[in-house]
Amino acid sequence: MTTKKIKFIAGFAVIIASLLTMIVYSSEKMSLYYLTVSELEAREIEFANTRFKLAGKVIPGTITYRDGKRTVEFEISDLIDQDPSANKRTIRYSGVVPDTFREEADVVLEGKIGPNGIFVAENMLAKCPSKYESQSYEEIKASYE
Amino acid sequence: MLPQLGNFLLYLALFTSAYAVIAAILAAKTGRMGLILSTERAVLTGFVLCLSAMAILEVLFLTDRFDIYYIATHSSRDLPTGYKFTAVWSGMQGSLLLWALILSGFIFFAVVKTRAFRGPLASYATAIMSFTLVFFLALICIHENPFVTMPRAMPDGTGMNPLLVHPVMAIHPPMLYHGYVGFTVPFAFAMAALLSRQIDEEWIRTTRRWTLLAWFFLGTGQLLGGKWAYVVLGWGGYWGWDPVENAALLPWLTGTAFLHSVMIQEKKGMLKVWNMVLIIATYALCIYGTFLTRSGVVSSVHAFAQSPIGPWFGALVVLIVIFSSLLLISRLDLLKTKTQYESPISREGGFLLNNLLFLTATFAVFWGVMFPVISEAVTGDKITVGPPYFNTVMVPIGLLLLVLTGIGPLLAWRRTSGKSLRKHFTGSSILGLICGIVAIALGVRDIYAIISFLFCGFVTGTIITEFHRGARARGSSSGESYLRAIVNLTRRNRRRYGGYIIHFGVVLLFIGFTGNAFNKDSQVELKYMESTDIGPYTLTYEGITESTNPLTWDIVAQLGVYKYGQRLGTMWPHQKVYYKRQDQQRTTEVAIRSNLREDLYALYQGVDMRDGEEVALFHLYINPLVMWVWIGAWILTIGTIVVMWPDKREKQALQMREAMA
Repeated sequence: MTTKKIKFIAGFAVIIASLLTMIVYSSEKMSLYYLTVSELEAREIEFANTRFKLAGKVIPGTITYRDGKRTVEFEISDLIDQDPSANKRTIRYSGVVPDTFREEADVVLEGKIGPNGIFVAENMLAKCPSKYESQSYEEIKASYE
Repeated sequence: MLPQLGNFLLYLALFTSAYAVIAAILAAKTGRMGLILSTERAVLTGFVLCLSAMAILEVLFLTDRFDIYYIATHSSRDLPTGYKFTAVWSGMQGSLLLWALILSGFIFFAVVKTRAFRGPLASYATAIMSFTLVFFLALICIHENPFVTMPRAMPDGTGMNPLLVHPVMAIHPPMLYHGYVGFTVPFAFAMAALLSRQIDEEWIRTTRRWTLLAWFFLGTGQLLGGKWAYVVLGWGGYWGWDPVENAALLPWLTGTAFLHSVMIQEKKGMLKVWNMVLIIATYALCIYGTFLTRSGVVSSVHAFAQSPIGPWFGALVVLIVIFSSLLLISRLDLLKTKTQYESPISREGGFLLNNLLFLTATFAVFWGVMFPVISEAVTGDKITVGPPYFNTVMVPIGLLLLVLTGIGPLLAWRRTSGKSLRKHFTGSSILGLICGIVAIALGVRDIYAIISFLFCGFVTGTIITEFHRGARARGSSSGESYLRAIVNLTRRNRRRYGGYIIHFGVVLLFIGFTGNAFNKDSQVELKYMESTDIGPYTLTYEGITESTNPLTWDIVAQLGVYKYGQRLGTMWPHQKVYYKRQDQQRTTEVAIRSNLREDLYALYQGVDMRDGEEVALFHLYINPLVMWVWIGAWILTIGTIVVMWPDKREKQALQMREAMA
């Protein structure tokens, strides 16, 4: 191998190594834990003062708006469909409420646990139940037949 | 009987395509003309069948056939006719059919284009493309059939989701599919080159335009998606590093690397293995993106249904990677190159660095998307990374790529002397420095933003220099006027100067992206006729009007826009409630005032009582330089058209080759 070639490879290796280090380092520094409501229950203390993401489904009948439409409080759970006594968590969110937010929507929230165990969210992503359709085949058939 | 006919045509297309796969493989092995012709006829038939099935589905949509499950859940009587037409691909089943149709069309045109040099290369390529078509048609027939009927017709459909009723959303999915499907063609020809051991640059020449087309559609498809998010979703931005966006970005990044590095192979016969790896990666990532969004492996705001087809796509990715890697390894000895690199400061070196950066960017995005999955597998905890990670990593990589856009094309092949570097780059460097200094003088303090403006100035300088030098040389030898010379220059060297135009579009995109560094937003409550300031604007709340329309109940807020005491106009941010829908969906309609400097972006969020008085709630944004993103997209389009435009000399060369063969 010529010295020229070695220099060449070394130069590129240095660039790759530094970029990869940056990628891995940034991903560790800027990561957030992602928990469901039931997972959180078991590890409440561990996450007392950390920012993390919390996922669940909006429980029907729990949405209340305050402050116009700007602050919204609601309860979420990830297992309520199977087990009515499953863990719930009250969420308080202030900010733009996405158009896709509604009862039974899947939500992912980013924030911290505040006083009284309420999860204070700063970001909210919401997903309509069963994609961009409002009803499933079974529901339509049931409501119609 | 129309749904049953459509269904039958789909199955017919499936079996015709399966036949095309077998016939094409046999044709490649035996070289018998009868088999080749039979394959070509099967491909044509497959295309016609897919087209007919799609036409039937369109007719069913336009005639409100709500006894068909897919139509009952994706259309409604009150949907405007144009949207009934595009509602066909607003759901999974129709999207897959559209994908299959585009694919069958591409296969047909690829076959027509390669009729001039029939042989193992073209036959194997047809087999691979047809196999992909079989895969899609099988999925449609078995899992996602759009023609499934219900026992009785519903009186009305549940309608398209209002968020999707937007002109951009009508063309965004087909454009992305054209991109994904387009990469099937270069991939198939690359694999065919390996299979047939016909490893010259034939496959690259044959598929150059397909690659460009796929690249263009994938890129602009994403920009359109961004436009939709910006004007419809109303969170004030156009790109959020969501997994679905990233899934489309991944093949675009490797595809761009491929587009550049094949030029070295064409010119110098180098990087043969590398180019194979790139096209395999690009195609695998196209399918992988579909797998990601449909399988529920990663969670995303884009609410695609989790569907049984997810694992199918996963399996296809695995199949592609294993098959092509084994094939590539078995042909490694044929792909040796004799040419050596001479200097890193050369066109080859520039291309190599370009590839390196694009691949690093791909890895960075891939790592970010898969981080939750990887962390869960390793530590048992699901850990996510979001926009802060992507911005930290991608901004420096993007800036390096930007400056390379200016430097690369001006480097000479093999080696570049210091003298020529000074000659080429002095003027552009000065222009760049001026842009940087002006940015600082205007109050820009963000270091990345300053660098970005500096690089944008520099790259623009190199592009102007190239056009200027070319035009002057041409003008002095032919006596043409300066403008005439520029036009003729571009027409004579479409690839080179079209490439510069595309690079200029990229510069404009970066100017737009840089604007994100200065975004401002504020949430305000305004009493009737009360004002608020944001950026250079003063907004006055001038009341609310409500109206009931056939489909929606509209609540429209009126804002007067003032600048330096002068009234500029009125904005009407509003909310719509689709009161006829079961779910009472509401949508927030953004009001935007754009100019080249900035966008004023307003959301109306409802009313509240404050000390016994009614107040209206608004979220206001100032998003500088956003318009440059859309202008950049147009320049990119123009550049791509210039590059792709049929070239007379190229055609003559092709005819020469045909005559020789």
